[in-house]
Amino acid sequence: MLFDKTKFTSKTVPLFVMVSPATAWLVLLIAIPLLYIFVISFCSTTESHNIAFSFTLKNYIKLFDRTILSIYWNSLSVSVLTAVFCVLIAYPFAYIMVKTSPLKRTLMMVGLMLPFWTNSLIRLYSWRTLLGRNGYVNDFLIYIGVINEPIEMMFTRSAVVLGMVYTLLPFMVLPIFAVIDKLDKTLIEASKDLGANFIKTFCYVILPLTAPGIFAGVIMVFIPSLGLFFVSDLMGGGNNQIIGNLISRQFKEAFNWPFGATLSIMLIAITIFLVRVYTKKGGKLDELGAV
Amino acid sequence: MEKEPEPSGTNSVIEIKNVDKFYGDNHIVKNLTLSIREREFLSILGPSGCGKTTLLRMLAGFEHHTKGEILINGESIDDKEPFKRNINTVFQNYALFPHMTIYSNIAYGLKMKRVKKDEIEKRVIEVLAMVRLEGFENRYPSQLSGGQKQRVAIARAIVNNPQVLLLDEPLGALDMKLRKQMQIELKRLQRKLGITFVYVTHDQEEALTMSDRIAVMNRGVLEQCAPPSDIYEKPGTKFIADFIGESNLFESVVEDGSDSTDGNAHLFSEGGTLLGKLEQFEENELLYVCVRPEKTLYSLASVDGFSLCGIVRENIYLGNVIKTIVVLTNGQEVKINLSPGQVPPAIETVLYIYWNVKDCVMVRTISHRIFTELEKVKLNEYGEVMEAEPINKEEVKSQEAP
Ligand SMILES: Nc1ncnc2c1ncn2[C@@H]1O[C@H](COP(=O)(O)OP(=O)(O)OP(=O)(O)O)[C@@H](O)[C@H]1O
Ligand SMILES: [Mg+2]
Repeated sequence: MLFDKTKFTSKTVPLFVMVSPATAWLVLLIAIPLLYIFVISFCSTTESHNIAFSFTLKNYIKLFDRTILSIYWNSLSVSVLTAVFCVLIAYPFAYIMVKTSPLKRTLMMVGLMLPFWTNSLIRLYSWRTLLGRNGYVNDFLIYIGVINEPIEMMFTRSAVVLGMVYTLLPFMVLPIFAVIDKLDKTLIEASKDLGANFIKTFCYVILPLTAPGIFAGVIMVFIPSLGLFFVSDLMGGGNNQIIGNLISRQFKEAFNWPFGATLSIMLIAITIFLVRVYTKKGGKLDELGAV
Repeated sequence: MEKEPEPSGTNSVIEIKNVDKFYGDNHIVKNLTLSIREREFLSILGPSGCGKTTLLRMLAGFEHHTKGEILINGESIDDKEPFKRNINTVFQNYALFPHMTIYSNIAYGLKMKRVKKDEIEKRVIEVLAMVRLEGFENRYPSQLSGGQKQRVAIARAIVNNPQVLLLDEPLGALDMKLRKQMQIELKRLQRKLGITFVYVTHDQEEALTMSDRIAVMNRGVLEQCAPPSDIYEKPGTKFIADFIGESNLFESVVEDGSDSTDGNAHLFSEGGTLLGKLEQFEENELLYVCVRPEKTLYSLASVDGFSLCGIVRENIYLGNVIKTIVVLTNGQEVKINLSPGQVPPAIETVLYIYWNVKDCVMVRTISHRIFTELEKVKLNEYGEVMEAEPINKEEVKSQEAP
């Protein structure tokens, strides 16, 4: 491509030298595997679970199985709930972070990011000690007499959502923080000056102007939450499958690589669709951390 | 919302009484007392960082004063949130809501007050006509020029029919020509609506041409609040004499025992003796004689009472005036404005500076009152030397000190 469009002059050489290693890595690490996934999604398996390279659409038809559809449904609802709770928690958090003193802001930021330096599996496991049948929360509730029998808190959809929110919260806080921080404070003053109290100012000025940050955060949370299979494994105990579980099971247990590839292509399609919606609505890709 | 144009009233809308404002340890506004009258155009003038915006923000309710009292219509504003005051602000950077159309921007205040929809529409259309922006209803702020945004900001404020409009350097971002045009429009609007304007600016020409009164601030202190002509002709302090327009300032002390049979004050300055107006003086008081360049005269022979000898350094032709710069023996530069018909003195001519005593103004520094006592102590210490070169001695001392 580079050759047929541009004359190969001395000026293009440095450009070519600079760009080509990066391009080579991208091709090697992303384009080729993607292409491979795409190709085998149209293949079938042999008796011995090998890939048979013959064209078929049966993997795509299989997507409309009721079990598969119900897992998609469950996964999407987990993701929606995750995004909603993340917004509800992250927005006030980010707002306070902007308003507070620089020292407290740094502390809040550290508090948010510090857990990410420990393995997320370990952190998720620790929820079990809290929420399990013999966990601290049940013990406490029985102790104060609210309940008699321990209640099942782990291995429910709520637990999966909790795990997702817990894992993905920073990805919601950061874009919202950025957009609130950038908000022109005199607009808030102008609103108050014109007779709006805080609630009205929030609804008519702050929220509309910070919506792009919420939107970016939702994308950043929603997309990964479709695929984070270990969260649903640990918190949902295999009862609450998400798209990620489905895919990993095809590769690791069912050895049905072509169908796994098809599910992956679907996930990519959903991702691209959501990002398209985002950019169509005026969102910027670099606010998602891409590019 | 139309009122009969009336001259500015005498009833005060806002009373600022002994107000102090601290940011941490920084004393930003110092013991400020000012009453703002009904329907007047009051400018707040002062150099950058003197606390003009801070004062305005206290009136708008975005900042709290640390000490003192602010009354609006006789009521303390201490517990009145900004959105409960009948005061609107035109912000320096316009602060238009970028996600709303011009119509919604202007309607915002009325909507917050739950005015009926058709009433809102009527008033928005009316005010748009007033600022000459008919047909811009559906544009967004980003689609307007600076001057248009400015007018929307003004429209958004006046549509609420406030009692007081606060404007923080509203024309700061505009070019010279548009600025002049907007000045006229603003003044016209103010007259027409009869709203009190509190107008912050650091452009003295703007303040002089537009205001009924000008409050001059310096380092958080209100130096003087008076009509423009008074500010220019009778500056109350040395700072104002220096800050407003051009002036020649002669730092002087009263000649000992000048009981002045001729009705003039006989003063000593570094450059020589000079005459000033007879006022109430403290003995050895330090004061400044301020003479405007157009009132400064020269002659080749010394004039009775004056011994300010200097040499012409240059003549600058400015079209409507010729500016002659004379350097006195103590190095001070004196500016003399001559009308184009007059022949300026040749360069390097030795001449004497004088003026008609009625054309000069005696001013003091604002800190004068506080420091008079201090000055006296210092000056008395050098009592003997004082008569020869009183001020020089001090300067030399302060230069050596660091
Ligand atoms: N929020 C703040 N915290 C601390 N100091 C402040 C704050 N706002 C203003 N100041 C200080 O108060 C002083 C006066 O500021 P102010 O904005 O009132 O000046 P100004 O007269 O409006 O100047 P300009 O003409 O440049 O707008 C300045 O020295 C400024 O540094
Ligand atoms: Mg200012």
